[in-house]
Amino acid sequence: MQFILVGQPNCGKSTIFNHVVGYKAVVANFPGATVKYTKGNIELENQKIDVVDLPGTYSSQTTDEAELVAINYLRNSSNNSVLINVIDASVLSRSLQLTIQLASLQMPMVIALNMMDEAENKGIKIFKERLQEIFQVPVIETIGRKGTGVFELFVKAKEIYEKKQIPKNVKFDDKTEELISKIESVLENSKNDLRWYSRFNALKLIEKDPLLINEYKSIIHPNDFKKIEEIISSAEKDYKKPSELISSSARIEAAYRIFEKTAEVKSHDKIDIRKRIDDLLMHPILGYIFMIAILSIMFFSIFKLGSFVEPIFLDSFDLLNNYLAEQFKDNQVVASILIGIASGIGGGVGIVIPFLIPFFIFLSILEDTGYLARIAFLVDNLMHKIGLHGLSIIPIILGYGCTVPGILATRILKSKRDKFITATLTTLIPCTAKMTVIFGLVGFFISMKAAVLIYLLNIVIVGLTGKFLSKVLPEISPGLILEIPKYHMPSFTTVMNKTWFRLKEFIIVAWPLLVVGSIILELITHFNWVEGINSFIAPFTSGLLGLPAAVGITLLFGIMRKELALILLFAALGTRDVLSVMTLTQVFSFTVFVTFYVPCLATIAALARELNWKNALLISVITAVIAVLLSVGLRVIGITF
Amino acid sequence: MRLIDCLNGSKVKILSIDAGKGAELNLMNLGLNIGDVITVSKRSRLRGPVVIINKDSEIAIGHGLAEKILVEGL
Repeated sequence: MQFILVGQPNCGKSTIFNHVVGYKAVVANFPGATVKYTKGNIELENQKIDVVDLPGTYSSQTTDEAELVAINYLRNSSNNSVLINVIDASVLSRSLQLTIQLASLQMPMVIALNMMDEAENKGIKIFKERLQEIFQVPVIETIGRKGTGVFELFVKAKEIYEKKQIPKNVKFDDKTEELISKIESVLENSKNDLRWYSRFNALKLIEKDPLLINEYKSIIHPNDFKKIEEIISSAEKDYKKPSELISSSARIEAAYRIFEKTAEVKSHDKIDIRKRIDDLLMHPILGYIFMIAILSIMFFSIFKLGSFVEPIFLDSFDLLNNYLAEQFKDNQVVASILIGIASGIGGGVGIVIPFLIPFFIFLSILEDTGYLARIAFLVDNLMHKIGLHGLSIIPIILGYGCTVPGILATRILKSKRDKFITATLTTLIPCTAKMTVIFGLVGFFISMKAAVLIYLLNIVIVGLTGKFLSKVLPEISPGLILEIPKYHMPSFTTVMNKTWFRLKEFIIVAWPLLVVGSIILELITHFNWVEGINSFIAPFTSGLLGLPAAVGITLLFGIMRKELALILLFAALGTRDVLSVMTLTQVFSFTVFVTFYVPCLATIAALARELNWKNALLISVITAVIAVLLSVGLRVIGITF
Repeated sequence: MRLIDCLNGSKVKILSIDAGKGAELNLMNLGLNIGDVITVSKRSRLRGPVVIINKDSEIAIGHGLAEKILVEGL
């Protein structure tokens, strides 16, 4: 048996899911798509049940990849499933649109009327018996955040599955119903093996569903298909709008009709504190000041906290390395491999615990309170200047923590081109590993101001790169259409679960590569290949960039792990007193180069996964070109002054 | 009148959305339909988006799109 949770974005579906499945959930890939869903299992009345949490989707009439695969999953779910449609009770009329569509699938279904407390706060009273009567399936009130009603919901879902109780279809206005039945009658008279019910098929034909249209073409007899096309095109003339919009318009009206029948809205005089806060946070001027303040506090405290904790981890792994070297001094190769593994793991721990965990916790809180959507609103005009829109800011902000989850987050963007540009920009953002290089080198040897200058330079370069790419890849951005969710108190479990899921992405994609990189590095040192490699790339490092030839190896290994560039620099130069062998310009230019050049291996892997290998390579080349141009530029400036 | 020209707090009725099927469908999925009465709740400066309240939800609409939505004041 399988429970499928389906609902619109922000309806609290995942909160319910986390409440029952929790950390045991796994993220799964849809076959052939990068969009992910989570699944897990529970035991209910001595029976093991799979629970699937589909990505939030506003409608089964899809507009992006996530929605497309989510709906496709529903269509292909065998008859061992029951739908749990989660509705945000505080936005009932909009949520009912999806419920109407799900009803036409004629699968066993229950409705969870979630966020009942929110609805009450808004003065909305919902008569669930009336809703039950309209859809002919059980409606259960839940408050996912507190877990209220969740158990009852799942017990009911099991019962409905056993009874095979399917929902009743909702009728549209007479004119649209006439159109639907015309197509239904063609389908019923034609010999075909169509799956699903004729009403669902008729609607999908009217919507010209991109996912199903070819399937219909191949199954329905050409003459009948032509008849249907004629019916639709005459309807388009009659309605004076494209057929895709006929059913959606009818659906909105039907949803609103149900809303009026099942809910009463009382205007309440209570002054809503959340509205006051919102007016401040989204104020045309003050909004930006608050945004900068909130983000600065976040980054500053993560940095402070991280640099306090980091040495504790690094020191203990140093001790481990010394111990390993001592134990295996008879077999240097084994020692090198073991030390490689230990420092790979240590490097990971040194980033994950001090920097990434706090970063992801902060980010999940920003996301769950609803503030992240407001950031997207605030920066929309700014992002338009570089050919993107507000939503692109989210992967970029994530990139300040770790580039890997940043790249993986580009999947929230609809257009392929937006994804590519945003991924390129995210790659350029200094992640926590690059941060240790910036503050460890420039911050320590030059000044903190100079380190901040690199961050500012980075923002300028990111802007220019975005501008350049959007000129090269012109496409009218579809523009921002974004729901501004209500402010919520984030729930502890959801924040922790989200943090864990993002960490998992780092652990699975990035960590193994850190270990492999460190092993190779140890072996190269062991076999004394460093000199050879350095002199091989000396024409580039000294000739072009004007850096000491000894830094060659650090740049090469910075590709494996960015923070290695710093650790290795001391080893390569043979001193911790960098200024005795490098000029200030060299230190600055080296750091800038490390900040921008080729993304780390883990990022390249993430790029290949989210886009493809060709684009991953292209982005690496773009970043390398930027790094070279900047470093050469800095060298020229350094020589001139 | 275009949606982008509306003042904060004004109540308007949507007459047409002239931004292509995709954008219109996107707006409809969020529950916005032609003929709906909406309230303009927030505007931003420098070609930023507009936030509207429709029935029970708040939606941010990019500047470019808001230029293509025709409304009439009530």
